[in-house]
Amino acid sequence: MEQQKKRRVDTFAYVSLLRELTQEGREVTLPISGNSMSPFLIHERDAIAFKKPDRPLRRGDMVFYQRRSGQFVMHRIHKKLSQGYLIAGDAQSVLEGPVEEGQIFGLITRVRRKGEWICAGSFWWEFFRLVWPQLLPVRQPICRAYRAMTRLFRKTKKPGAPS
Amino acid sequence: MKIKGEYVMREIMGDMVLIPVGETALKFNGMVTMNAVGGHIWQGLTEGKDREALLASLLERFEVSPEEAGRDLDELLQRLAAQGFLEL
Repeated sequence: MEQQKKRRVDTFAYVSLLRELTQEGREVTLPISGNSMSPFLIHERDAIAFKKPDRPLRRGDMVFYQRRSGQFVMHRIHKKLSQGYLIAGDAQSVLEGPVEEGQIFGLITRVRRKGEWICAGSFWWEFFRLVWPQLLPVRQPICRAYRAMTRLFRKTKKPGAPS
Repeated sequence: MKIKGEYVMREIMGDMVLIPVGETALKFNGMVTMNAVGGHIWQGLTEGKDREALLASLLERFEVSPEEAGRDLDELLQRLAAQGFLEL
């Protein structure tokens, strides 16, 4: 018989499948791919759990939606308009939209950050829901300064010293 | 034998994919891809079949000798158990 092998599954097909499962009322998870939600969520380190929205969406919610191009994206709601939502990733400083209600199929219910599942009520969840959106115009300088400080900190450590 | 956790099996572009859902998804992040044989065995497990019933089902469905089917079945069951999907 054919041997079992590790295979790569097409991301678009996989997310489409996850969307179907959420439509059936299930909660599913997906590893983070890409850097648009940093510094909250980091590529290949973190993961999200999501389900079909079961309440009205509001500012600060992280949502999964499908762009008109077909691409699946998970970003955060910044503003609700009459015709949809203005949305941006936590790493971005430009709003996208309006994204219509019908394009949104998933509401993020918890995230696995640095190996730990957190949800509404935890410090970092609330910080990125409430405070980070207010910093939209100055995010890029903050992130640049943070990265520079991190690099400086790494350089000042002795080679081989425990982190 | 008993499946540990909650999974959904679906086909994606010819692959059988096992996706954890609900609480299981929080513990097991990712998915498992299987070939047609693996998918057939998993389906049997979800129906509560024991090893003998699974073996009979494989012999009925695939052109394979009883020895080879038994060897592959045991190997997959052991692997599923070792990875926490199955309680033997």
